[in-house]
Amino acid sequence: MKPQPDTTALFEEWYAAEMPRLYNYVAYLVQDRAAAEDLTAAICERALVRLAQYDAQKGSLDAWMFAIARNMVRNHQRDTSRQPRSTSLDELPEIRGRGGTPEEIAQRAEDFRQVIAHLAELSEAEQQVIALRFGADISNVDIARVLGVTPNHVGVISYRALQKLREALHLEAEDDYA
Amino acid sequence: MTTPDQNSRRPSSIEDRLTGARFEPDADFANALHARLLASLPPHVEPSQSRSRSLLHRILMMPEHEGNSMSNRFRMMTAFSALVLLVMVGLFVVLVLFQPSRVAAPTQEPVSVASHTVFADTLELLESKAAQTNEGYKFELHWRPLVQPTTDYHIFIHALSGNQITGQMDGRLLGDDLTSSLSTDHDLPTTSWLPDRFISSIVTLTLNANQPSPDTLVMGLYNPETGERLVVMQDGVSVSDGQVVVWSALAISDQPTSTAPPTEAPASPKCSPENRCLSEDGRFWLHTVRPGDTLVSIAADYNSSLPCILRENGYTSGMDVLVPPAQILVCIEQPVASDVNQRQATGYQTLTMSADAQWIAIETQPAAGTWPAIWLHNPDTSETSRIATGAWPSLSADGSQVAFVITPPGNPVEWNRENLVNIYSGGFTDISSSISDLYGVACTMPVISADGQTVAFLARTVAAESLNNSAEEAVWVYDRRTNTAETAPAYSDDTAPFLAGHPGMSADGRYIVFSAGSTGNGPSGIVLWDREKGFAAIVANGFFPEISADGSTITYLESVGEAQQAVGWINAMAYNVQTGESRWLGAVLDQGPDGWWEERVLSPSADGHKIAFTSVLDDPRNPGPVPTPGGGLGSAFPNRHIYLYDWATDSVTRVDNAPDLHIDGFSYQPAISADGQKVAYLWHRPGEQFGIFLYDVSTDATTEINLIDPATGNPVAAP
Repeated sequence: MKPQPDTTALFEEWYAAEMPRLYNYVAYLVQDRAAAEDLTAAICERALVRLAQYDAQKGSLDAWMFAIARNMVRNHQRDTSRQPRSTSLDELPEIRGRGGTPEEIAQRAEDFRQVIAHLAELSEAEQQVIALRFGADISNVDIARVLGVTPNHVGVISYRALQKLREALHLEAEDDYA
Repeated sequence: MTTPDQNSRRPSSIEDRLTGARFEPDADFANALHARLLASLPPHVEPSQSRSRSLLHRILMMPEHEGNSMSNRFRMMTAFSALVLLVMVGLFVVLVLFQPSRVAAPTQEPVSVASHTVFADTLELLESKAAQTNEGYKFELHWRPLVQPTTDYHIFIHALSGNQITGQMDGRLLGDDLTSSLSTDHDLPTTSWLPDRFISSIVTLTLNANQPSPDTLVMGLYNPETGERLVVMQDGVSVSDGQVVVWSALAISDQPTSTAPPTEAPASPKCSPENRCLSEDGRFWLHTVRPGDTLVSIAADYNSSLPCILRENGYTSGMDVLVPPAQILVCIEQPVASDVNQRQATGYQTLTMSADAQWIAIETQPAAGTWPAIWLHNPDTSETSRIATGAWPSLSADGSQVAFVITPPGNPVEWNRENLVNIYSGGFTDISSSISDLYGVACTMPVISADGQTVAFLARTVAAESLNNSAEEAVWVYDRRTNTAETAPAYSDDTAPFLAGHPGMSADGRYIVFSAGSTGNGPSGIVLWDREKGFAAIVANGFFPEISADGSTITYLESVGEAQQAVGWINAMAYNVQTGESRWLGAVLDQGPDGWWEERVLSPSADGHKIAFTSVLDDPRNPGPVPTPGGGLGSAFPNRHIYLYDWATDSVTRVDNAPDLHIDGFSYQPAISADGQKVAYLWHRPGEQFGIFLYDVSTDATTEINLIDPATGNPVAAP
């Protein structure tokens, strides 16, 4: 019989290194600080409760975690889809720009915020693909695995989503510079 | 040259913007969550590093009555810390100054007591796990409410040494709803436990250090207003005193131990040659599963309304089970009248039709978080039956054989198509076992030949996995006559691993088509595999291929170029293998209401001369701008229609044109009969309405198919 990996140790290592990525993915989709924290915690707790069900031979812990995350976020969105959605900036999770001077960091954070503000205009599938690709930073092949579609389909969805965001921001940019 | 000022004004690309920043979790939140998770670790599992459980963690595990928001709880952590420090110091002083007279028993492995226990026909105890701690015992109880309790039940646990009660605890029974993703569903009293939810309770029993160690721990529930204990039934037998054994010194072993009376495994003479057996109560099909498979919570079954029991070596287990190397029986629910699909409340996922149009197979998903099921319907006789839980049905020419993928055991909420296990065909023959080095549990998208003897499907194998870190999928073809499976010969000089997808098959099983894309982001090709000649080659660029029954015509969606992507539509194409002629059918968009359903976009007739396909465009032959989908879940989506392409006239006509039945919405999953005279399809309209329709070309008439009789609520049956 093959030795079973210490899934608890695996989970701990994953959590220590990857929790911010999970949070980032969740925050992409819910765009609310309290909800992102609640959901991230709930996903980790769900995963921990079900850790015995994880089988390393069937795939990476990362893919398993994001499959759970995707389903829980989806359920959350369905549960809240009938409720009015607040877009108050005060409720956005903290955005941190990467590297550079303080001005560049601030500019990147602002650029990021502008794109994120249009995510809700995408279909659910497009939002998921964008969040998994950029929020969770996983490949199209792994996204396909998480979502249960073909990588080609992911590519098509991703292209369209980026195109829509591009169009949305282009209009906004024109307004800004008008 | 670009000036810095110009740089600052120039908007960066979308990708740069998205990768240039990220949402950052609050440090307090991250630390508090880490602490909380550490505290939640199973009691028998120590953290991988040398961290030990601190009192802080135990406090975190205590029921929390203040504040439902986890965020709020995290923000209270700081205040807790000072208190915790004080308590720890106090405990240290107590431990040093007052040595206990009895050395605490060493912590032991938890004992899982598998049971099927029901309290007052209201709460089913799925499982209890007991772990010995330095202070006593900690219990993890898993419940499934059969109905929502009207009483705020309390729990008692008694430690028995012989017949003497040597310790006890009483208290309000609280639980976390693990089925819910809401953090507010913690510490719920039983009056808030909803039916068919999965509730977990943590209960601790603290024992006096001077008392002898118990040999048995019993547990029961009672009504705090009357003090009356709830009646307990175990496997239909009333348990005396309203209490059940949840731990016994005699039960400590490496294997789960049952306190429930052993139940008899179904006698083998009741089983058919295909290993299909009917349970004694006639409600479940039982099926042999390969040794070594991991089965998870199948007892909860797909709709959570009916128990489905694993019978393992003579006793019943309702929880996660690692199947030992012995014969195990899995339950597949009999067709039942309840939990049927209704137009107002049911999601239809996929549809296929037999070549003779006598049978339609539909994959339904009654609601989010439930298992999909396979239904068969005969449009002429209205005979309807639900054959099993599963997905992706494919029918033989006469509809007598059905290949489909059985859904895995587990929480339906977390079901996704990557987790499917085992392909069954008519008679529930497990054909995925024909692949010895199957990787994981991912067999998907089966298609069956006209005679039902050949099945093509996608599967991952260990061999494929070893090629690359990604788990490549390959198309396998299984021959029921020889019980062997083969995969396609090499079809590309490219040494990069390929990811196959979306198999199609000619009626005789000779020709197989599938899409093949590099595991990178390269273009996807259509592979044609001639099994008789042992030859495979990429014949077109595209994806989602289908092949006509006679093997003459391949239909597919063309891989998009930049210009086409810019306008958002994709070409639907047909390719005649014998003449080499390609036809443009029209422009389509392969995205459905939730983006995931739309892989069967094309359906060719037996000779490929009629091709049904879906498109969001009002005129697929004269494509203009793609209608803009609404944003977000539940909002409006562009309408989608079924069109029929006629090779002889090189024209298309719209099929879903019955305004008395449906006007706007999504028509999807077209399936055409062999003669091209009938087209079945699914329909959905935002607002959660679904429908099944059958269009007759010769009469231009559309009929709606109902799987249930609205008058009786039962599946439609033949008169």
